[in-house]
Amino acid sequence: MGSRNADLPQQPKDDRPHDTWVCGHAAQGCACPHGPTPRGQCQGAMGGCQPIRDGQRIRCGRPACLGGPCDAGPGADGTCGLSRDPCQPRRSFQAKWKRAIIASAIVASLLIAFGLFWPGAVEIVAPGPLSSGHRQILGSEIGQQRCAACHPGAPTDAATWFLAVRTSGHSGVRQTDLCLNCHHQSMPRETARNPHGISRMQLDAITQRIRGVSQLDQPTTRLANIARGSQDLACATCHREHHGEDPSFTRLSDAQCQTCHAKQFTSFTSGHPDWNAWPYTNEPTIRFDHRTHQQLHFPNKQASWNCRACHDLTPQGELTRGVGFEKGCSSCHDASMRTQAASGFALFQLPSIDLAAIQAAGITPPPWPESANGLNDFALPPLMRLLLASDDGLAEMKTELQKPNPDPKRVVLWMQAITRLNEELASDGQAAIIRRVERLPGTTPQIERQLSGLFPIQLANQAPWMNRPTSTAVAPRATIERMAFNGNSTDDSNDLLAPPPATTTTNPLDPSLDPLVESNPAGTDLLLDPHPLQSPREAIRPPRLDVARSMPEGGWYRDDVTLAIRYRPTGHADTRLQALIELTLSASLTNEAQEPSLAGAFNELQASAAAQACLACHTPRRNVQGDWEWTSQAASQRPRGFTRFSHRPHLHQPHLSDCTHCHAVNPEPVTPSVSLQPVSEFLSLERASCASCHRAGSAGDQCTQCHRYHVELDK
Amino acid sequence: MATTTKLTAGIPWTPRWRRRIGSMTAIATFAGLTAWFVHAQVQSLRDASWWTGWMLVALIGFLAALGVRRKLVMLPLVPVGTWVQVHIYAGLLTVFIYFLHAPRGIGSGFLEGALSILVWLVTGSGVYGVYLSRTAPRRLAAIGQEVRFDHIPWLRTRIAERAASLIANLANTPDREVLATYYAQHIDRYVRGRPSWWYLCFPSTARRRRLLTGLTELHRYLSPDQRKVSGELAALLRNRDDLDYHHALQLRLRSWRALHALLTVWLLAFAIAHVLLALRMQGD
Repeated sequence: MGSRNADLPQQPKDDRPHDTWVCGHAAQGCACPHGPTPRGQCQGAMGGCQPIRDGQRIRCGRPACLGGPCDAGPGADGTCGLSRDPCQPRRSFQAKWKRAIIASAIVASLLIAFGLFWPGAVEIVAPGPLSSGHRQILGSEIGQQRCAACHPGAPTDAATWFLAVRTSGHSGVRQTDLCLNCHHQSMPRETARNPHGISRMQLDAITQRIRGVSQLDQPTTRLANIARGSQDLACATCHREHHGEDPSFTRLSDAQCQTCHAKQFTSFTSGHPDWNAWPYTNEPTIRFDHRTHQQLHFPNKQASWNCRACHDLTPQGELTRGVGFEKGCSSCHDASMRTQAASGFALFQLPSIDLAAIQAAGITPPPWPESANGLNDFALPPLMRLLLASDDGLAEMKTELQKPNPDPKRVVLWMQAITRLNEELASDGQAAIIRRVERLPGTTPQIERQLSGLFPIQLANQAPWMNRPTSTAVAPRATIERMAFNGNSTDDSNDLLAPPPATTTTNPLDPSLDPLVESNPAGTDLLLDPHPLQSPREAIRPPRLDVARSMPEGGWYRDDVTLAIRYRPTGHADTRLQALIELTLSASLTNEAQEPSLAGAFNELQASAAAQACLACHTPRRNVQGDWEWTSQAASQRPRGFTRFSHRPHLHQPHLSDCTHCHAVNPEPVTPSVSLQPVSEFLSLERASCASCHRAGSAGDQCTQCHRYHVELDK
Repeated sequence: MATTTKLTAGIPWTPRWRRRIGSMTAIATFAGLTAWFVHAQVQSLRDASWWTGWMLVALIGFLAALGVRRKLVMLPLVPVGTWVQVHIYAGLLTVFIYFLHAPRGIGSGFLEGALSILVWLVTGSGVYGVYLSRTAPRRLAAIGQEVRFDHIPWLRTRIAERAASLIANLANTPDREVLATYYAQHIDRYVRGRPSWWYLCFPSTARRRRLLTGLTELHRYLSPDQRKVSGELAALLRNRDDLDYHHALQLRLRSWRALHALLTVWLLAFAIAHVLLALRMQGD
């Protein structure tokens, strides 16, 4: 204290400030020397002091602060002779502090226990709000185990807090499994934990392709690379929940991308691998020759070449892939396309069979129209071949019939199959088509519906050239001659199809075996015939239907001249022709060794004029759902690829609103590449062109600006 | 070399400074290694919060152990002063690790948010405690006599009794009333009463100066004997004001320590709950 302060009395040294209780008189400086009891009771009732026994003598023990030894002194029994007012002991500061800490610890524990153990207090322990897509998990009133929807170890009630996770019924269940309970439709469980959610095989193929394009070196070893090649990525590795609408929930950092990616580079402008052909990497679904149209066709028609005429803006501000046939192509291509497609395709066509050869083999052929009796013609329309392929036991028939002289017994089997198909068509109509098509590989209910659609059953059951009994007056000589020539024997007693044994012994040199005689079985004199050059088949033909005149809008019809049931396309985007192409394409994807009759169906159909009318512009592709796509899909409908691009922000830039700034047509004709890579008619878009704007501080250069993590690759 | 010399030119190379620089270097090294490790974990798509979380648990447990160490005076542990020094540097490291664990600084949920607030409150009270523990003892030592906090009421009573006895023993002279009246009207209430809460929070010498000025102004009405009594009264007033200043600073020290301990208890409780939840809800 200051030098001019007064001298204060010496502070008491015998008190116990760390005791829980202090004497109520302590503030007055006259605390009991023995103080309160440990339970806070005043001992002043005992008197002013506790007398002190000193040998045989008992003396007063009152301290000096209380006036020293009293005059009366202690009694004979050793009790204090003075009575003193008891005090109210007070808690010491230390005791108050301890009580406050213990009380606060109890309050905190109760509050936490309430949050942990009371089922309704999930919001208290939840480490933050969920993202909007997951908010209903905690926010809804459905179900009590809301935490357990995502956390395998989440206790379902207060008791399960004290149980191990393995006893909670979620043993072996991982958090990602619970994520996939809801997200399995967009993310297959088998590949969900793989990088990018794709199979290892796909990943390796992509890696090898990029390595080849970018000439990447082997990655350098860094600590961050220890995650590379991981096949067990959890959803929570990137998606950290309980941060509300924080965009980091769905945003990958560049560093995270480069954790696994071999080539680690500084930025898009510096070190990013170049690309070869993007955005023209895939063969377009619609083959439109921009160069010839721009340089040749449009000038010839004196039409102005404007990109936006076909690539219009959608309401979302994106560019359309195309304008459609009716608006963009039909004015020039409709008539020629209709003419080309007019031939259509045949559902059924009766082949010409050399019945005499069969009978000559001693086999009775099934009933066969007279008009289809002639030289063997085993070529069938592709659709009919596919329908026959679903007939059991005929798969291997194709190779047999391609022989110069097929086995007559197999030909008879084949004829019987054709007869069965005809009978089914005549009796069941569309149902027969659906029944046979649905047995084919790769077919879909949509193909079945479209292919059989509007097929009138009368075309089949009223065909005059079916179910006509074949003529039995076939000269046996020709049969015998063929059998002799082919070296076949009729002695086949085990063959159920074998006819009764022939009893006629013929001389091969007999002039009656002249084929010309056979070709005129009715004995008509060629000189008397009014149409001497007309074959017997042609002689019975009815007048031919003028399809172009009577069916200009297409449909099913029967051609009694070619003994066929045909379909004439109705015009562009004809659903039946489209379904046929899809069916043959699906069939062609089957194993050629196992299904030779199916694998070549598409190639045969492709040779037809009708199919060429479609395939000249369209390249049907299968999407991830397994359906065939004929038109260019909008970006929103295409499978999610690794690269994404939106025209919208680019079109706002004045110099980019001109499409040719980025998409310049190559003035030179494009020669097909030796490799299978599609060659674009556009000049390649260089990375430097993008990098002029996409750099840090400008349009941005983050990986996720152009790349996706979760992708859907084509099957 | 020249740069190093320039940087260290103003540092007095006392043992305390050597200890400070060594401790700060150790803390910075450990923090840097931890930051690098966490960065590598994040780069590797791993969850670094598991590591930083357990580091925080260990550090908070160590920091809280200081309170236990104070109680265990009988054990041959490191001196409490050393513990306090390590406590301060460990606190700095804890703040750094906390930022690695929760880069946003504040958790978003109720429990996490409360835990974050508690971390910051404990950190803030700790920093204030460092300041207070560096300045308050120096101020108290400047006053002079050492006063125990629990003796302050007793000393206050003694001062009041001494002042009252001075007035009671005044000689019965005509000028007695001057000093007695001033005592009754101004001094008695001051020396018998407790300091106000305002004074305890913001101690000042305003009242002391006012009373002493009043006493000085009475001198012309007082006899030499009474001036001597007036001087003794002034000394008692200075005693009382110094006592109140002791009271305010010691109460501040004790309140800070109590608050720091209280917040630490809450922090421990919430941290334990957070650990339980994290362990229970973790998964991949």
